[in-house]
Amino acid sequence: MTGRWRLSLALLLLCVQSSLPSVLTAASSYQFTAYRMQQYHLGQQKHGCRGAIVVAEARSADEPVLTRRCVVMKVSDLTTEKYLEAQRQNAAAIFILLPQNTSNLPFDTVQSFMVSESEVLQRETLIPVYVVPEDDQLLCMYEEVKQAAASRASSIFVRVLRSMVTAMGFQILVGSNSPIKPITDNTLVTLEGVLPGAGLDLPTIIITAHYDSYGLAPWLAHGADSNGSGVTILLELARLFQRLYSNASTRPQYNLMFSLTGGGKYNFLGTKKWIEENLDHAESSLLHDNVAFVLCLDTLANSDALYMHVSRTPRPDSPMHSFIQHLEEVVSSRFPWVGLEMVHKKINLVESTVAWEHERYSLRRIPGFTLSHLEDPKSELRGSILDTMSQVDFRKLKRNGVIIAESLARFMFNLSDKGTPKEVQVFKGHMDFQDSRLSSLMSILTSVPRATQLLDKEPRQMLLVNSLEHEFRRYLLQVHRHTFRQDKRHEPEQILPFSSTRVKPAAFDLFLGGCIAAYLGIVYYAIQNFGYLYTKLKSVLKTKHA
Amino acid sequence: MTLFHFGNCFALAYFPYFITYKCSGLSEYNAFWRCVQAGATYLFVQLCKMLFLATFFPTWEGGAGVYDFVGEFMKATVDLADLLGLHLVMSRNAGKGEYKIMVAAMGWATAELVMSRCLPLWVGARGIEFDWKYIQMSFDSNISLVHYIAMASVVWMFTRYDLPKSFRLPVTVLLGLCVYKAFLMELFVHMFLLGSWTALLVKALLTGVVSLCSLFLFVTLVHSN
Repeated sequence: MTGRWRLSLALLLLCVQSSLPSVLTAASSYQFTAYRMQQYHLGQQKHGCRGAIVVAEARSADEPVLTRRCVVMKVSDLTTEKYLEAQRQNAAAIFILLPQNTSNLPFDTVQSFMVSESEVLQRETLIPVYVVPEDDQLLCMYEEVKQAAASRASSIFVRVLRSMVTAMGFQILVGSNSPIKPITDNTLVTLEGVLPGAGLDLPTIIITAHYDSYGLAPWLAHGADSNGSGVTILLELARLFQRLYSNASTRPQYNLMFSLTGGGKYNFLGTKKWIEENLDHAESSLLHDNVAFVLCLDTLANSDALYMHVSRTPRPDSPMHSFIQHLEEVVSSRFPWVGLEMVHKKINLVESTVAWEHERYSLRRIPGFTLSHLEDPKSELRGSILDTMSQVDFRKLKRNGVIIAESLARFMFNLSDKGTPKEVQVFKGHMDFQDSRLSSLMSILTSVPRATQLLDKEPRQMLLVNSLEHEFRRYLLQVHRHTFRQDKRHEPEQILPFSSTRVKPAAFDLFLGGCIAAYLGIVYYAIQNFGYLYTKLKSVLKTKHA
Repeated sequence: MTLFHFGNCFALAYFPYFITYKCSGLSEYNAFWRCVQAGATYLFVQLCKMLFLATFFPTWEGGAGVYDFVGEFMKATVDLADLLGLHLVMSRNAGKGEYKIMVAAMGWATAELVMSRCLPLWVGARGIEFDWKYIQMSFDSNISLVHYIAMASVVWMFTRYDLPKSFRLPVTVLLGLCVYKAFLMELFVHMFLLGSWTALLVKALLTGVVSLCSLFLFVTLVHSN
């Protein structure tokens, strides 16, 4: 009878166990999402990280041994040395904790992080690099592993005690098993619109800015200054000049063409394709004929310096030269504290990266220059995940916009003989740059990460591109949306779910087993001698009653 | 080593039961089958309680976070069925008082261990994630064993025809404490916001007090004549 009962119990346990593995994987660990570093080929060079799967224990960056461990560091910890060290030791993964509010970070931290970020992106690595937004649980984990690293220095007794009893390890697992597939059918969108001038066969001025962003992790690249500022100024210029053009008495004798290009952070591919489309494939285009010059806007929301990047010094009788003179006039007259400089950089055809957008035009013999507050095209400020609204100074953004607008107006209407820029101000009063519009445009642009990889697939990003097109249609005529296929390959940037489970070191189990054995020994002793207690109690009561 | 951890928790939970069974002399009386019967009665009583609760106590839509004292009190009252179940088991076993108490308590507590603790331990303690609650669960099962022995002895004393008048009140009070122990524990945790280890300690103390009192009364009763 009992034998059969035992057999049925055994069968029951077996059935239960076989159905349990799925339950087991849903163990109570802490779930979080992590953003993978981007990965792409550009020309011959590969950038970014190739790996994605992580099954490793978390360790602080201070520890000497990082092999096959997951290195957890904060934004302030990331340096190129530590990164290279982790690479050299074949770490399993690198996790960077990003604070919720990046505006609270001190300036040097931001600078050093941006520098490390740009260096990290230059190379290719097999180690997966993830950026994780901070929260309490992850900060707890960070503190724990940091303490574990710090205790390496203390005495051996403390270390053994820690490892046996109080230490808590963290195992980090990736939550999905789907392999990373490369995407090859990426598309770029370039928008164009025109304000036609008064008359026929007029020269054209092109104002252009690229609207995509770049950073360590595409889902976190908001690109406020670079190049949300350029897009904002461009849209405001479109609105203000549309007012001038709408009135026949104030319509200048220049066509004003605006262009928002995609793929700017990847060697200005959108610009290149758009120029090709207009020059080689279109029957008639404003680019064919008389182009006075191209003004490219790139990163204009900070700093009291302005640089005009040219690939060839403009000839003294060219429209570009004249416009540059107007720029200098406006700056020296109204904003003398702004340092305006020309930077002459020859186009190097051998170099793999295109420095500024005007170089694409110069290659096709269209004169142009780029206006930026950055002097170095390789500046780390041009592509960082910390490029958020905290990097934007709205007063300087407005001031730069006013400089450009006034210079354009003075150039187009030839206002030099009417008075100095201080006396004759076109854009003021109801024609002034609106602060509210500037800030709302910036907020919209930074609310959604504008990385090139995401712009053609994700719904919110596509909505943003549609909104930009809508803005163009509001103010400009002959608005076209060009869609180009991209010829660079990259892997899809996934947001991957992760789980971090708390584990105890192996020695702890043994220690606990020892404690439990001791406890059971005490229990055994107590139960064995229970009878003794019973008789003692009996005798006490008997004496009481007797 | 997580299977090791499961082994730790299981040993912590189960060994006292095993030791109690062996040392209380039940094995000499071939009481194994009777203990299993007591366990079956436990299952039956739990089923009835669940049906009763589901039928007559719909989910309270009280404010979230507000501890529904009255509701929980009523639910705890249903635990009186435990007493009836214990009484049923004991009345069907012939023998000395101690024998009846031990059989009933052992069977009841073992059934509770198997039903409510084995599965969480198997699923949880074997996982990668470490949590102290499994050790606490095992300690809790030890405390439950003592609790059920005390409860069985109090029920036995209550149903004795030769119970002196002076004992009626203490026995009833102890009976009430036994039934509402879970309710009192939740009350303490809510009011004093006790941590999990502190709550375990309080539970152990409460059970210890109840069991000592019942032991005292039992010895007095049995050896007073």
